[in-house]
Amino acid sequence: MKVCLPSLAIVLCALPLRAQDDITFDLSEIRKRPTTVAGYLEARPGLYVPDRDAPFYMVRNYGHSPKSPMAQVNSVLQLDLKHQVDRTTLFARSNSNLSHTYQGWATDTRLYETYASFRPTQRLTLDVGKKSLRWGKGYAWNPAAFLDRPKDPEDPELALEGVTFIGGEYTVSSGGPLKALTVTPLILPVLSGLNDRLGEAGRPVFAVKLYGLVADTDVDLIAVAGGGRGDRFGADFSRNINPSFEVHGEWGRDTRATRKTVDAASNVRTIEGASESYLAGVRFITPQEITVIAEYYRNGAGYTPEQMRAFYDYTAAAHAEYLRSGDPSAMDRVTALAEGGYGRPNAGRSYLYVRASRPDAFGVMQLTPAVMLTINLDDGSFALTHEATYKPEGRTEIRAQLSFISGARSSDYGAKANDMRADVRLRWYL
Amino acid sequence: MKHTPVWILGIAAMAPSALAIDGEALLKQIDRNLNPPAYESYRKIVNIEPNGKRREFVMFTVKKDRDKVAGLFISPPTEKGRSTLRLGDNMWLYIPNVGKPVRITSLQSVVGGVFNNSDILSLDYAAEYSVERVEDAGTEHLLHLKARNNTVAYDKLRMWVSKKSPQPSKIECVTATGVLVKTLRFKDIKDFGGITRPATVETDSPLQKGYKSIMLFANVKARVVKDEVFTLAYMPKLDSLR
Repeated sequence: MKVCLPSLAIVLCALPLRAQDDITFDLSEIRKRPTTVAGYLEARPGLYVPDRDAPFYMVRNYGHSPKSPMAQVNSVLQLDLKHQVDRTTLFARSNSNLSHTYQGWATDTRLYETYASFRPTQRLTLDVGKKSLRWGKGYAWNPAAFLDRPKDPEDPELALEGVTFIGGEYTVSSGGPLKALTVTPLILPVLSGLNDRLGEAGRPVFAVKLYGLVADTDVDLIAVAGGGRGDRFGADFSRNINPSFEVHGEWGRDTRATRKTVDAASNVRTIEGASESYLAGVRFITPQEITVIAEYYRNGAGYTPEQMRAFYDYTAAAHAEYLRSGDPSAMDRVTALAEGGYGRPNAGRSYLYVRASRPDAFGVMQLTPAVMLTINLDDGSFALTHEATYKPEGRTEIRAQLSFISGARSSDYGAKANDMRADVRLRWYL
Repeated sequence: MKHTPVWILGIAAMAPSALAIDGEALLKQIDRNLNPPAYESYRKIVNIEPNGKRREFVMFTVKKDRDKVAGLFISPPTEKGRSTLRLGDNMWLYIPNVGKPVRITSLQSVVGGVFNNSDILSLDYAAEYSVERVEDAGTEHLLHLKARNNTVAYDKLRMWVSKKSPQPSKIECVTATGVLVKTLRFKDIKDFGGITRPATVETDSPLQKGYKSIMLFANVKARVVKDEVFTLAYMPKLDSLR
């Protein structure tokens, strides 16, 4: 069949126009239902290139000899169930994880949130149940989020398991320099199996957050007491400087922070004392429409490079002992120390985080490539992640990540279990 | 009525008609037509790529006074539950998974495409711009608007307004250096039961050749809510207003 090129050109040019002609706004699209189910189903296959001499490889894999690269598949089903009647909202969020590694299959299901919310007026809300608080203004870290579980700086937008509390939220607005004021008082019971990471069983935790929009600046003041622990105080702020530039900061002080350390002589001890942490950050958009988030984080409760090196030496010695004798008790002690602090994300003192992303890149809508860099400023080790996220249609999201970790053996990132990670996350939204 | 001297009529006829126009009053009238003092609406935003591929977003929005707008995404599922808030120059985005509002800037776009956040969460034009001058453009007035301060997304606007009814037909958004950033076209004047305004706003940009974004309005109706709705604390609860 002969194809008439001018005709084809006309047809191609007409395509967008024809596409526009059928745009409709059907009112069935805005119908509200009292009960909704939302969430996503996720599959995340990945490959990891392990660093067999790294301390955290020993901690995670002692007793095993996985091949390199290690294949791993994670799948997640996150379900949000919401029922709203008049002024009452019931909400539940579950997160079920099914993963397969060289060690076999593993499952984990948690109820991230389950709460009832009653709103007698538009100013007042009363909450009871388990809910994620997400206090603080930082993107990668939140030194003032004393009650939240720590978020993963590599994936700070992931949902987190909440805390159980009885609380309220009262808001007033005004036309003056103080445009809005919200007070959020909370009581968190601490029992065995309920909020037990927040304090001693039988000793409830009391918290209050005071938020104000003062002279176009978000300001939060936070205080936490009880639970048999020291009082904690925090503050944060955020402000738009111009249409493309935002600044934020966050500060937290724990009057009685504790952490376990191990010294060069392998003595394990618990250090107790006040610690202060803070964060300063900016978020701006360049003329090329690249969104940049940059944050400096000073972790007052973190470990110095010397303390980190002592832990790595302790780990290497324990691993050597395990290989020699087959007795895992020394490695069990190392594992306990790792879980107690050394193994937390960003356990050091001083970090810089930079993320640059470009929405609708390369002329493709909903394609967002990004680069993330996290550096331990004390030892120069870093993690560099390349990312591309694409939403081909309204229910699907595809994200590919490639991460490289670099640093000396005794450095923060050099001690991580893997040198490289590549994975693809496929999400289908309900 | 006494006879008006012919020479006075002659001078009045020679004077540029725009001189008789109070630009600021006209701009306020345009604002009142586009955005009544307090109302709710549903909007569908459609981003169209050069190849004809489309992405659609549906939002519920509520506005009060000159400078308070809140929006909630109803679809698609990837964005459902996200809410946005604007108080004057301040803007926030709440993502259900993240669980807290984060500040966003007016030049970013929560939906991609040609509309940026200041277009989607638009305030009264008189709140952000002053009228530099009004020109006669045949059947329309041409208003030259200048940003009141450097926190406004566009430094200058050129707004064409029908002389018959104070509704804009076209707005050109221009940078301080005179570069045209985008053009907004207002179409399909519709009576939403007491509120008459364009039901369609289209935009394109010489900086994004071949791309187009369209905003359709539905269920626009007067509604007054408390000021406390326009606070960070209310962002996760916006759905309760529907």
